[in-house]
Amino acid sequence: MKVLAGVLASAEFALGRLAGLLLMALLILINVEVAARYLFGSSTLVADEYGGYLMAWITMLGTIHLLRADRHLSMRWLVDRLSPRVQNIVGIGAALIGLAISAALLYATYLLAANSWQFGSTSIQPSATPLVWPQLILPTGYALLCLAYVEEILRRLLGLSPRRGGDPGAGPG
Amino acid sequence: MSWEVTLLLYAVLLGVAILFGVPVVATMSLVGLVGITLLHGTLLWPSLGDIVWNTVNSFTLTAVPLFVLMGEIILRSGASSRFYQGVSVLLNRVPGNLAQANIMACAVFSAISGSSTATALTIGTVALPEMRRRGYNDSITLGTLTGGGALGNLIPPSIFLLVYAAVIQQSVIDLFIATIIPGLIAVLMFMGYVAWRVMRDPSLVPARVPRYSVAQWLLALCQCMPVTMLIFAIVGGMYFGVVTPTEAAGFGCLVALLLSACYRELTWTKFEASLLSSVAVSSVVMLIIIAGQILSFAVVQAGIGRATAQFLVELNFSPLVFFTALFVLYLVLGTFLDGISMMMLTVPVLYPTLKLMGFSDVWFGVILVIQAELAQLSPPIGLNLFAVQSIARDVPLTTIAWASLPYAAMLSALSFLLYFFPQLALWLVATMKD
Repeated sequence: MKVLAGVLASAEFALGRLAGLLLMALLILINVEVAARYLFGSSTLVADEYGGYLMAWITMLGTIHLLRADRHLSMRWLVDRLSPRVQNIVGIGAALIGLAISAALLYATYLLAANSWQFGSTSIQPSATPLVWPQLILPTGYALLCLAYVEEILRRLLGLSPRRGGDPGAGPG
Repeated sequence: MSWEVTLLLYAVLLGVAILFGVPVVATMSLVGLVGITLLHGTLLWPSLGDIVWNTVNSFTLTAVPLFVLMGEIILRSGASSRFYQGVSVLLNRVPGNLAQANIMACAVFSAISGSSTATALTIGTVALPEMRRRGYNDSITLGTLTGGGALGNLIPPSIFLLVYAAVIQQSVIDLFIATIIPGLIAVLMFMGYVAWRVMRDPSLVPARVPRYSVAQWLLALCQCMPVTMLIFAIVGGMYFGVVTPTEAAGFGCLVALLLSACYRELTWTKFEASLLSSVAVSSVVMLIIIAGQILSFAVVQAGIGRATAQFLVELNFSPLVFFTALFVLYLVLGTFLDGISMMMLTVPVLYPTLKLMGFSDVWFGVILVIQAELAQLSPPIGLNLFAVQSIARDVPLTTIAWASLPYAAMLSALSFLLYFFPQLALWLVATMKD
């Protein structure tokens, strides 16, 4: 349990910062595209395509932090009124649902990336980027999410206190 | 299995899971996955990979993290407190003074940050201690913060509308432009209400109003100018077709960085925190969209959207009755769901009906925004109420909810106003196309 928690904590820290760097890269890419168009009358030709890829990476790299910092939106009105023991059972149930869904999506996104690899699929844009590379983040992200859910379940089964790092203002506006 | 039974099964599963605290993302994905599996076994599971990829790999939605980052930078750069100080001087003679400044500052900052809750928190942190010190009654202060924060998505740019546009494949710019007039009406309604309350009961605000010199007025103008110009640059750039929404967001971030460099308040630590917060908010939004698309896939596969549309049209409701029923439905959903989740849950089922009944996509987007903002004010999980309570810990949530009620009522009235006068939303879009 300690090893798993340590690995996930390091992954959360490192991937969160990597996602931040990718967001900076996205910011630069979009502004370079605008500058190229209005200052030089040309285009990077990859801003739309790579903007989408960066978006995919940013999303998936951020998921492990969302779970470990308890920043997912949920209605806790009823749950908070239950006894701690029942709350724990409900929490395990919710984590099992999360684990099952993440596992199903891991399988589905793995098939997607594996097919792109097997058939050598490339993007239809001028860059002709092999799609397996941007798609690889999807199964990776869901695999990490599965591990985070396993950690959550173990934590609750062992009676350790759940993490509550989120704040009520964490959600989108 | 008939569509009615399938719909009932979906609704029960959704209701039970949400009630027991299963996160909205997991709940929607679960229902989608169960729905698909009941219909076709695991045959369609590989399609989920395509759904996830096509959702996250979206250039339209690339604007989401950039708009969030722009707001985060502005909120942490000191621009918010400067703007608030400036507005409070400029609105000095308007009845309600600082209460009016709250509404104006919230309207502008929620537009920039795209987050009603973050705005209520940021402006509230500056405004609440100052207003208490000057002798404003909490009953007027609290409502202006929660209500003002709820203007967020009504004034462009709006994260909610970006998501709606991506889901229904509609023009983001049309949707942004459509919210301008309704947003301004909401601001005027809120400010008019505050003025009316203060004139009816002058004891709500301090009797003495500070006097400012011409130099102070000019300084106030300078304090308000950068943020106002930023909004005009973003909206104007999109309106006149100079930039796409994603480019406007990227450019807005750049301007926000330059602005914060001028103020010299944005440290590397704050910038890093802005990046991480933007990643987290964007991930939440994207995961909700992925879950919504999986649910939508199941709804389409089961033929629920089409059958519901047919059923509702055959009931022959008048448009007003149908609209009122929708309003009540969203009001109920808004008490326990956030705006984006509410949209992702309902649009797949209701969209075909709306098309059949002749409602405009753009107009409905504006109505949905208002409903989403109402959800921010609805107990038990109205996020704006919690945000304001986190800075006014001595005030019970019920007091904050009561103070917010008039603003919720005004937003509801705006919704019906738009029903009777849809041109309030659609006129500016038409002029843009001309």
